[in-house]
Amino acid sequence: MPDLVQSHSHRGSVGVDNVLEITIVTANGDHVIANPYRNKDLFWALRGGGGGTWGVVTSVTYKTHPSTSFSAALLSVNSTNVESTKNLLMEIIRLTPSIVDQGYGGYGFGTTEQMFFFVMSPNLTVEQTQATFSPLFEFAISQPGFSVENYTILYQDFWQAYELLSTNNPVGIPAELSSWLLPKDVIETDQPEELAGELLKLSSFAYS
Amino acid sequence: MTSVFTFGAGVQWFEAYEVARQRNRVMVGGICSGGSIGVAGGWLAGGGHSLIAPNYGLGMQKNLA
Repeated sequence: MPDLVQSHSHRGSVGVDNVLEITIVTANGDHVIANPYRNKDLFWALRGGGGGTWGVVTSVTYKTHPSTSFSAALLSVNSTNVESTKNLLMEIIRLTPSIVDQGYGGYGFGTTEQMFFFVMSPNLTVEQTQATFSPLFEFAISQPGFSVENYTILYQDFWQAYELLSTNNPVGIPAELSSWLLPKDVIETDQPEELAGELLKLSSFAYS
Repeated sequence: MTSVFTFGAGVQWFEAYEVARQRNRVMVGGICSGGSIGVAGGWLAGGGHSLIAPNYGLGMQKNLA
């Protein structure tokens, strides 16, 4: 599932960017601390270098952030029309630079028959989210062969969003994982049709 | 206020989020049904994609004693 992310934003990040220290048992049996000052090469490798490669991790120290509200948008579509699905994906691609600039992150999964799209951003009002996503919702509703569910919602904190997201989904989804991180200049393509076509050749795609 | 949390391997994200909620903090972590992704395992080793990652990436190497 390729991720559509903005790679060069000063805000762009993943979980490893929030890690301050890791303790690990290395292959020679030593239990060591890895951080920016001690075993810094190991610390660097552990943040993205793949599972099980460097030893057995025994603890991770994370940075945390003040609690805040999150404004979210959801769009879920069942489709009997491949062209409609492709058109919707093109609209999502066109909207992506603006969404990323507004701090949204989220998930999307799609095939030619169904598409799910969920994003949220801190410190925005639900009215701002409605203004951003109403055109996308209206576009989806206007497409032939679509059955559409859509809404915007304000979560008081991350936990509220998390509870809803983590309890409503089945365990596992039929998706083949791949990993594409698409930089902004690819997303800001003047040929969104071509990009949409490539993404739909995969069994599913993810949006973040 | 505590702003840095250390979790032992085996802790799952739903447990970490509960701790963060009690302390009015938010963490960049994973989401899945039941919250059973581990905080110290393969999710992190693969980079750690998160719903809220676009906003919380700064200063990762600044605060450590």
